[in-house]
Amino acid sequence: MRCRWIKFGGQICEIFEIDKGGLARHFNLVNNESYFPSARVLIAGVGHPNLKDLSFGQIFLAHLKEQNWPDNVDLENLSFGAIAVLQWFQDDPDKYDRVIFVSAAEREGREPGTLNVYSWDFAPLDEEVVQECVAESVTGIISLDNLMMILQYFKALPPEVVVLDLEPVNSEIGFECSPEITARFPEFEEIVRGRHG
Amino acid sequence: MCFKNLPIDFDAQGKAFLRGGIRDPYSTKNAITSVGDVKTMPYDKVRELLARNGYIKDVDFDPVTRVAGALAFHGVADLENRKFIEARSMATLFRGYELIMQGRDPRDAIFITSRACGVCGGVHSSCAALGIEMAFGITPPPLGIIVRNLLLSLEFLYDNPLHLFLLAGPDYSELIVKATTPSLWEKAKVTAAPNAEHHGYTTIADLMKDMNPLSGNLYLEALHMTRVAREAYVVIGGKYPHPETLVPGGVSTTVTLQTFNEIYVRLQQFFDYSKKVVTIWDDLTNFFYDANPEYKKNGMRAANMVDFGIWDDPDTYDSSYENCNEWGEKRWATPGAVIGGELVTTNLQNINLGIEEFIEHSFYKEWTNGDGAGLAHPTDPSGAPLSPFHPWNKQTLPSPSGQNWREKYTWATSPRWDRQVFEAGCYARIWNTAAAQKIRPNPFIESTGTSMKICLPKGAKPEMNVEWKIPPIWNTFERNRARAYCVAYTAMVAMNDWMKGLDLLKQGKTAVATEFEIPKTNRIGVGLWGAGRGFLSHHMELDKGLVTNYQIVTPSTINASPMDAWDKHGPYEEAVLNTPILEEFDKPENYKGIDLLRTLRSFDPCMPCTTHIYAGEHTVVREINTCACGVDG
Repeated sequence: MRCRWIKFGGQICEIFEIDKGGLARHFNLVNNESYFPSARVLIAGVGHPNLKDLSFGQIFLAHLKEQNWPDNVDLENLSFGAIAVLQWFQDDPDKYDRVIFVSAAEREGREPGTLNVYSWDFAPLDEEVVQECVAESVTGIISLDNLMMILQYFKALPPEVVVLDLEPVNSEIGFECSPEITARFPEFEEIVRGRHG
Repeated sequence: MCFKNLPIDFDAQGKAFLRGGIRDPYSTKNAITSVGDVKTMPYDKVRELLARNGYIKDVDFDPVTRVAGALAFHGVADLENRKFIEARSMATLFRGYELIMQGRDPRDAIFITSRACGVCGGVHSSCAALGIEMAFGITPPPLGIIVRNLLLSLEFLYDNPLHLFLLAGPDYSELIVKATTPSLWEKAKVTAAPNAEHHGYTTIADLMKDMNPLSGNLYLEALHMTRVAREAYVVIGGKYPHPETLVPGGVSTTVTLQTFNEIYVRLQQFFDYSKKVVTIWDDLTNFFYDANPEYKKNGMRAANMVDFGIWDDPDTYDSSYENCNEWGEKRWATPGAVIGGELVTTNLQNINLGIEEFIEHSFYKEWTNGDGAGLAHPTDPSGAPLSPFHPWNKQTLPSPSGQNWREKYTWATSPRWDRQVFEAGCYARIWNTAAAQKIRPNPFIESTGTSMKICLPKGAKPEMNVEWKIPPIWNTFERNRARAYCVAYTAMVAMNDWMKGLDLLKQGKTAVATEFEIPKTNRIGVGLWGAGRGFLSHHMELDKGLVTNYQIVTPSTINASPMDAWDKHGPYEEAVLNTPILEEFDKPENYKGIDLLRTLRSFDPCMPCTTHIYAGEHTVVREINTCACGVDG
């Protein structure tokens, strides 16, 4: 495991990177002290469809939905406009104690296949950047970066937020992730489950 | 006789024919008469001034949005004389929906072309359905037409408030006005808002405070209202922005009394909201004019605008090209071409005949031989002459090359009507309808020839009559004011359709779709429709049950168009060249470009646009975001 900084939607975030073979049980964020079985947990996929690994948020979520989960875990596809997602959270503001966002993005300097797993750090936001995020979101752009900043700005996030952010291997048109990424779904699932026992 | 430049005349019965005695009637070498031409400095002269004059600055708008970028804008600003001396609009992204559609089942167009836009996907779906219906020769049942109309209205009730308060609105907020024109802010603090009783703000400054992005009440209220419109939309559309229920020949949803009730509880919220929106934009516009009459020149250009009209009459619409003039004029928004402020036609066929696309400054290859020989369609289905540059004859032949301001610099084409530069917008439909006086009898909307009167029913606020008057000038502020009135107009069109739909339900006329078979013979069709930001057409040709040609003209292709075959600038370019720089700054480094940004945003540009304004070593970054469609030719 390595720790480094990445630029995420105009903000600098500290991220804890898991290499290809890394497992959740070795990852202190996943087995952190805040784990408690009764917490209401949301696992949310975010991303455009039909773009192979870039659609990881939707495709991996579909894989997770086929597995068994405890009653305290909900799985939702939140791949729609960030303002609509914000309003969805605002409808039931205290519903979740923890949210795990699953998504993919092409980020400069990141090796294809890298999965960054990190806790959202709630760093102060530049309002001009947030307004840009709103403008993009209401006009059809679906992006994890926009979503996170809008949800934070309008105080719609629960106290504990984890992001699984994948660097695509293949982002061409296609309904499935690349074979390289699909083969790692069990590994990624372990990471997600690591937070829930 | 609506054409001044195209070689088309009309006989005594009004039938169009190609004017005789012209060797090459559609040649782009033929001279044209243009209304509202803007004079610009020769390219070399601008370069010379840039090299030697410290007050002449490059003003570049680069596509560097964080997630998506599709429009860039280049200009040269003379900060001493406070004007722009060069302007170029660039669509930087080729998407090629026309190519994607080739060889496909025509029904795919409803779902594929919807993806052209993240806001107005539904209008592309509807437009595709209209074109398919014409090609197939099918007509939806009345309730299917009503549901389609309602979908369109609800989409606009999302789209127009979004622009007025989330995208353009911040330009008129306390934060921006205070930072760019402090003297104006001081005036706003002591200027009473004439419509305080309707919108609740005592002074203009109070109003501007609530337009502040992210925190202002008007901003937050608009965010909420987008939800109200979306919710009503999905009741019949299934989802938003890409509906699942639009099909050729109607819609595939089941409509009941409950459906109508669910829509009404949301629609009626726009009655009171409209009262607020129109009075706010009236007060803002008049404040700027009074504070400094020079603002009337901001984004000014000739009132040239074209619209096909929208919202079909279920008793008249039959999808046929043959009858398009009859059903076109029965639309709640009358089709029309306004040139120099005068409505020159409301005839849908003529509006279609007048459309051409030019690519002299765009990254495409010419598809004609220059002489019109071997045209796919020398005439339209009624036998009227068609230009080689008409969308039914156009082929999309992408040809990327280096960017050169004098030659090719954009992926947008140059759509022109009667070879005139025109703009598209929801304001075109309110203008046409107000001027034409053809609107069907109804309880809420009246067209007077010079204005549109709208009766907004009682809600929490009392009934209110508002009136949009055709303005004597056409500029940045009038675009936004008209857009605000379009919220009221749209809400009451929706109410008319809602009542008609309910009546059909009572009569037991519950069918919403017509069965059809895909014809295997050669067919052409066209959807002549409109988006939240105006003019939209889908021209198509089918053969053996598949698409052989598909051409889309979007409003932002029109507004962002580059110079044309006669080197006439596109609407953004013209508007910027006419915009005085009224911003207050002590030195070039502090120049922010608000006048230019207001002008570009007033068109509701349908593409993410990032602006980099270079003033020497100083760079200012601003974004102009609306939706993500209209970037290709």
